[in-house]
Amino acid sequence: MKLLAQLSRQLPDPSALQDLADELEKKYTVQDAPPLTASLSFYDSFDWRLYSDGLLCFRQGDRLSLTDLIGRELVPSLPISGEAPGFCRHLPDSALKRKLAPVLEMRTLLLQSSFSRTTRQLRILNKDKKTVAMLVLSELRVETGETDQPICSVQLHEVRGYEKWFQRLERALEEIGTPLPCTREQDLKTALAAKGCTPRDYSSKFSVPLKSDMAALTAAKTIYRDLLGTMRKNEQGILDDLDSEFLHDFRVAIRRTRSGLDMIKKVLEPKISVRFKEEFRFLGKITGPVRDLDVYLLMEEDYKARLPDHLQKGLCYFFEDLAEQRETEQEKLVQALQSLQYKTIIKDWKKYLRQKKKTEVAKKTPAIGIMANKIIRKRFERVLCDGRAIDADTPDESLHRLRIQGKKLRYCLEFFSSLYPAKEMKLLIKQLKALQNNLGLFNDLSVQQDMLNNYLAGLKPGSGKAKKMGAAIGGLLTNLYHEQQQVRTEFEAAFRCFSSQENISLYEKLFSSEQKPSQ
Amino acid sequence: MAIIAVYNIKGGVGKTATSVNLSYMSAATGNNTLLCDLDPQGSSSYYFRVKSKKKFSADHFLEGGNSLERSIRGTDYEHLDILPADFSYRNLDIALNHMKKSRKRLERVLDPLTAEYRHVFLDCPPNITLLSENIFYAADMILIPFIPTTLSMLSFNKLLEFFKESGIDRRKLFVVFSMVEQKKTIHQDMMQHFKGRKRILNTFIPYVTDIEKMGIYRQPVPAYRPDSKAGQTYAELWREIGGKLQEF
Repeated sequence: MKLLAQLSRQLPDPSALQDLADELEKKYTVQDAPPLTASLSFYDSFDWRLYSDGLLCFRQGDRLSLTDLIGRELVPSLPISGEAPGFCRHLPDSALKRKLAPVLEMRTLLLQSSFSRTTRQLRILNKDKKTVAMLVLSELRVETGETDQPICSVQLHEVRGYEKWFQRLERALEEIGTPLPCTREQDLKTALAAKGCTPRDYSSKFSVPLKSDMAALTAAKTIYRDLLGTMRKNEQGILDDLDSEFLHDFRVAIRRTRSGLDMIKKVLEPKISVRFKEEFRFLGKITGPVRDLDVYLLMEEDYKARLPDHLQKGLCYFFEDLAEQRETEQEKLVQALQSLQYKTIIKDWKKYLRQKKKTEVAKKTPAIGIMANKIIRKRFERVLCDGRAIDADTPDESLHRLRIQGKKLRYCLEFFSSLYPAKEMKLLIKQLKALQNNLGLFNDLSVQQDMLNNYLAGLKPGSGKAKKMGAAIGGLLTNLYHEQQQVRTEFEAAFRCFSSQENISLYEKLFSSEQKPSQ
Repeated sequence: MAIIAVYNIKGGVGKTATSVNLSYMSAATGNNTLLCDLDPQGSSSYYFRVKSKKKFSADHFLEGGNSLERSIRGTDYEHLDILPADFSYRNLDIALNHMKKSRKRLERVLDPLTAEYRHVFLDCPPNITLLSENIFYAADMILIPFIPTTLSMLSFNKLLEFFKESGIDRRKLFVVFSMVEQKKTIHQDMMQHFKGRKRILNTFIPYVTDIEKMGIYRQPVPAYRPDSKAGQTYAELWREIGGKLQEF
């Protein structure tokens, strides 16, 4: 497959484009087409899943396209109507949908940037009036940009079989403007830069750079500030109910903060610590019901696949009911997030985290490096000890508790990750994640069974609808129970991996009390 | 990739106009398309204002691969490339004659183009020769522009006969009525006679000056006169053919 040569250069302003056009007309036979204006809108999930996967999704006119970062179409474009494309499941069945679905999952496509571009095509003709090279002069205007000044550029495109013409023009263009990558990705970056943004400006991954000699109070505040930032960024998406993951990320930030308040002890002033432990517990509580329902609603396809056709109708009623409940809970959640109580918590927390006056207080706290070693060691030993106590006869409760301990270990590894060698931390987190996956699945299955059991108990008998729902839920319960048993048998192998001598040695090496964290 | 050969044993039936306009329509509807001008007269190349490289010869074409790809030229239209004609195509038959397994040779030559092009059109020279046989094997669809007269009828029957004898799948064959003058009774009668038959396409190409003028404009009709009767006809014909291609 032959890739045709392209070249792109940025020019200072529209008059420079005109100068170039005039210059070309003096030397070549040029066919000048009237300028065309088209708008282009880029879509991605809030956390840039497509871009992170090397994909770009955009709308031009009434078609939705999916390309790689260079701009090559990966699947045929799709005609669409309406505003934003929204969820993947709402797209018509197509190659584009199939390509998007596994990357996007439950997230909705949001408009990330849109711009209009006026292009003027100059065709260079030979003596047979055949096009032998093409130049595109373009002026890009970002619709939400701050200035009216367009971004001007010229692109030179090779026509297959006429390389010499391309090379001749290439030499002429190299003397003007500055080089610009000739890719779709560059279009996106240019458009975002006009708004002062960059791609991937939000990620649900936690990453805060700390230094081991930082005072513990300063480090803790840095961590909490980042988590608060995550919460704030997700707020609007929750209020607008765009997709389930805004609330999910919001809640993870709450849990991380709570974990931090628990684990990084005696650093914050006692009064503050007591108050905000309580406040964040409250935030966890008010955001719980919607998330719980979201989890089930996201399971819809999975549940359907677990049941034979004749039980599907009952399942349908069940999900309709859940969707209704969710609507009620969502309203309550919106009210809670708009309440004075919520606003006060956030305002006070933010104010506290900003305070820098009390440096002498910060200095009294130990260096975070030494503290991090202690915290991680303690958490690791706890998981190791609790996990070793579990065998085939241990009640389920112990596994649930171990899951919580695992989560705490995971959070502190992530908090302090920047203090240790990246490669080793990645390995530790990977090992822990395997164990967490097993425990998480076991817990999910048991919570789901409890919920279904309660739901079943609450069904009013008699109606045909209730019968159908009862049958479907009964079928699900059996299915989930068997899976849970299977997951439980897999625990031993998962834990054996986690508690391997190699892994223990690595923890000892990195977090021993004599060992100072490397920077 | 689908290979669409435009062929007729007779010359002057609108073969090149059909190849040029349909390949343009294929490209205009978003498909990467290559038009191979296999006719030594090079009319397709002329319509696209393309001259072939002097060095290129029949031997090169049959070697396939790199030298073939190097000879491909971009047309003035997006998604549409052309493999220009070369006078040495006159020697193609002779060249093929000297090679073993020559019947399947063209199929192999076109194989490397699969990744790049969705549709490959072959504008074929008239008459039944070794090259035409190769084309029949390689093509997924053989499109026969056909002036509705008694003589054309005879040559069509001859072609069917030939297909039967050579064991080539006759389901590849499609007839499109070309240069149809609706005022002529003989044209009407012949079309009536064939109407509704399986291998006959519903859309027919009328005899109109816009198509004749392609030689002056040196552009496909749907490019310079998309709203004309001829322009619309080619768009409609391409929709019908596109539907058939999907059935394969």
